[in-house]
Amino acid sequence: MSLYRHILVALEADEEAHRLLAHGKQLAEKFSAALSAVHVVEPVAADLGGDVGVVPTNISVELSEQSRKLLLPICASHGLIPDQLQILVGPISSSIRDAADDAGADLIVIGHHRHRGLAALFGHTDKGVVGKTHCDVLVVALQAT
Amino acid sequence: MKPYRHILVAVEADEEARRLLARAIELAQQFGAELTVLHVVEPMPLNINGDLGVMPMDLSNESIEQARRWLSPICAAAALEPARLRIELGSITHTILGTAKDLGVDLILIGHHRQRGLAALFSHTDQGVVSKARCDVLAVALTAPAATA
Repeated sequence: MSLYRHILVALEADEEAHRLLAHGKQLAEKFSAALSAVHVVEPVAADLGGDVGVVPTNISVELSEQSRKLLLPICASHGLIPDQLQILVGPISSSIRDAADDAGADLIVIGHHRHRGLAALFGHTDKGVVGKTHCDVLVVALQAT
Repeated sequence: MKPYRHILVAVEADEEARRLLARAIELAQQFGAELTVLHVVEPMPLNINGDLGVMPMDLSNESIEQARRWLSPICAAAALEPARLRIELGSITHTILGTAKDLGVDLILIGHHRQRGLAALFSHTDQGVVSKARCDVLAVALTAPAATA
């Protein structure tokens, strides 16, 4: 029985990506579902003072590239091709939702650290945005048990 | 990662309980996991002015019985043994987490409603469960998907 058709794993640019991807892959195999991953970089505006003649760097682009460099090999080690990893810049929760909608995902897998709390993952600014997701969301406990 | 061995599904005594339970059963079958169904009634003591000599009414027991009348047939229809249904009195989040810990469950299933948004994707209760649970938590979408524009 195919309970889920497409599983989207939301990754942070850290080593926990391994655990989340392994879990996502296991679920995808069990449900014969497609698997993809998304990492969201929150936009950071940096104004370095144009009148000194310094070109302001676009930190978001740099962060995206750094994340991609970190995550691509991790994804590859779990059998994902580069196309299966999406790096987005935007507010975290709505970007994950959009990625889920675009992919037609019916299960989102995210990690949660008890000490950092889920609130750290989802900004309060998104409260005004009505949840567009009608997905199930699996929150994986990442702290050592 | 080890497959889930014991799933705890926290249901409200409403229509959605059927859907949530159906999902829970599907998942339990897929993982070969045990399934326990939990409904938590929050205590609502009601004291009518004692010095009129009226007995204080305890609505909690009434709520428990109502919940049992609603949920027992739903569980029976899903071929779950009666012992699999637990109806507890207490604060919702605390009881869900306590029961999960006592039973050593590795997955808690709760329902979520779409219109609350992702930040409050989890209602106040659910957010408590997600942030304090030691195990994985699966929030099942209970709102039917909207027709695409």
